[in-house]
Amino acid sequence: MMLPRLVATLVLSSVALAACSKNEPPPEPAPTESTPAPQPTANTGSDAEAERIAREEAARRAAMEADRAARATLADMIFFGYDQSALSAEAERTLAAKVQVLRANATARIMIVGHADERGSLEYNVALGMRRALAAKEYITGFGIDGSRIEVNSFGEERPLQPGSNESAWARNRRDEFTVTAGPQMLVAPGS
Amino acid sequence: MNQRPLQSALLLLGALAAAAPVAAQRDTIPAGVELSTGYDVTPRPILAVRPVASGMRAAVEAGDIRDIIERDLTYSDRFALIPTPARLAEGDIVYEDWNDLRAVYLVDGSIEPIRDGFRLEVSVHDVVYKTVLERAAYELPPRSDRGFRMAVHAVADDIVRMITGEPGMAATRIAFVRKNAAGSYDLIMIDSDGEDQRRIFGEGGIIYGSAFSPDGRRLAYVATPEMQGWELVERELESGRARVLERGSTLFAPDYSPDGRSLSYALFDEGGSRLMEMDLASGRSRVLYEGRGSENVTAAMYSPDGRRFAIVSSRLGNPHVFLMDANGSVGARVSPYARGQGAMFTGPDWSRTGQLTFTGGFGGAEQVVITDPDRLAGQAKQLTQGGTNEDPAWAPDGRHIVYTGSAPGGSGLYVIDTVTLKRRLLVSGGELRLPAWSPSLSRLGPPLEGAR
Repeated sequence: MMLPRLVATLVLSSVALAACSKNEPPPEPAPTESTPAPQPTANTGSDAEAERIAREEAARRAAMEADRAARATLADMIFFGYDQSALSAEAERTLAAKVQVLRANATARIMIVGHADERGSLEYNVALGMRRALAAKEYITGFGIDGSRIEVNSFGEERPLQPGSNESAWARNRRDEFTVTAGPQMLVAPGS
Repeated sequence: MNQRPLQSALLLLGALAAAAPVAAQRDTIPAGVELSTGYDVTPRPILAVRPVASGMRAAVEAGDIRDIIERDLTYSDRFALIPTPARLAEGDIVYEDWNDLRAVYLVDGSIEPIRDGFRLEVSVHDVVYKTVLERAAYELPPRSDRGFRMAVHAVADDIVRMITGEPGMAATRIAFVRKNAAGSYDLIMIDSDGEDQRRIFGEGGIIYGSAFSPDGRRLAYVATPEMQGWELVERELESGRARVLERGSTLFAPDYSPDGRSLSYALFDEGGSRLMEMDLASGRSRVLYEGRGSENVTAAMYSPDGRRFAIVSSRLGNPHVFLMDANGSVGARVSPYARGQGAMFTGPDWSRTGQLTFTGGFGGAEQVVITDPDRLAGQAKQLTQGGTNEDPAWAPDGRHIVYTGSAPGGSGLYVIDTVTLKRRLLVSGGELRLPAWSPSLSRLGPPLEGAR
């Protein structure tokens, strides 16, 4: 009697795993010709199975959430004062959070692109954007992250985040943007 | 340095503004910034261009030639053009008739078809002295030929030279960048009179700043084609062949040396901000100047004799224009210093006579200014008022400047005469920037004949 149950368990597990990868709840086990349908018994084998499936599901959701949070942390922008490339305290906190993610994901690489608001010459703003990108990179590498993992570039005033010729638009455009250029398919949370 | 009171400066500004077709705005120059107003107020001589005589076969061309020359002489801002009365349009010239109209100069011409186009004869008369100042003959291509207009522009420039001894700027083109609604960029070229606008090429990425080679045949520019990094490119205008000279994280502001053999540019990557000079034959670059600490250096423009540069450096905290010699030693600050104003001075360009123009941003609104770096360093004459006016470039006549302007008159590229402050709209559009003025494109060589 053990063998058919084992087979049924294996069938159930493989079906459940297949269903998990499609993000669907596992279907009812289909009885095979040569195996009677499993009977619930006082033995908690199938309950343990259901728990394991639920744990795996929860773990998978947690991993996806961790990946999402890590990517959001990496993508967080930082902003600057007029004609400034100095990092504010808030910018430093934002960058420190990125450091944690980069530490936890050793193969992840990022690109930092600096921007400027529309005031000042086009070319000066390219240089200013570059200063801002370098300031962020320097802060991150100061924590021991290898510089080869971080590329820098500047688009000056060419790609405003918020169009407009007023203080609020200008403040939004003086920024560094961060994109992930390489790394694992799923990032892990810091500390894991 | 003498400090003129603010009221005097504003009065002078008011006088400048009265000469220009714009209303003065009082708050664009902060206190402590010195302006000079040594501009020439001599009246412009009256000049007429008679209809160009021709047979039936060349009547259309004759009309075009006269219109183009008349417009070019108007745009030179050196003359007051009057129309030719019908009774004086043909036949012999009687100087008394023109004296009655108070004309000082009279341009007279005739064309006849020849094998590959036309032969144009031009006489420039001095009405006051009742004599022919100079006479010349020119070969023009057929009207359908792309070079026709430019050849006529060259004749107009020759007329300016005959009368004033100085070069005209009609036989030139202006290159500029247009940012399209979709976010792509095009390099556009237009004749100095606003005609024959052509798209030369386009990029999916950003195009920055272009510079003409001294022979007018090549254009150097900076672009970021796939938004990955920047490229310094040289393009042959006739063939369209382009080659990448240099790649970097960011680079900008290419400028040819007067002998056409070198190209200066600014480079900014993890090695820092620095000014470079490339030998075009070998492709090898040397460092002209390395920025120290957080100093941004963003341009090195060759002086007319090629022996020194006007550079932009942020060593004082804000970007300013300085002179630098070929060894990289930075000397006098050229732009005015206004304490605590957050001013920015960028984008210098040399005239053929050694004047500098650049953009002055006085805490927000950018304006075009000019100065003599040797005699008037630290002072600047503001040319524009109202709106945002920037990215000036001199014409090869050393007198006119093209710039990106916004108001009044709407956004676009404007040409301003630094002597009379007369301004004209060259091409309108909201996202036009970084104009570069070609050298004279006259390929006529010397005229076919001198005085008869």
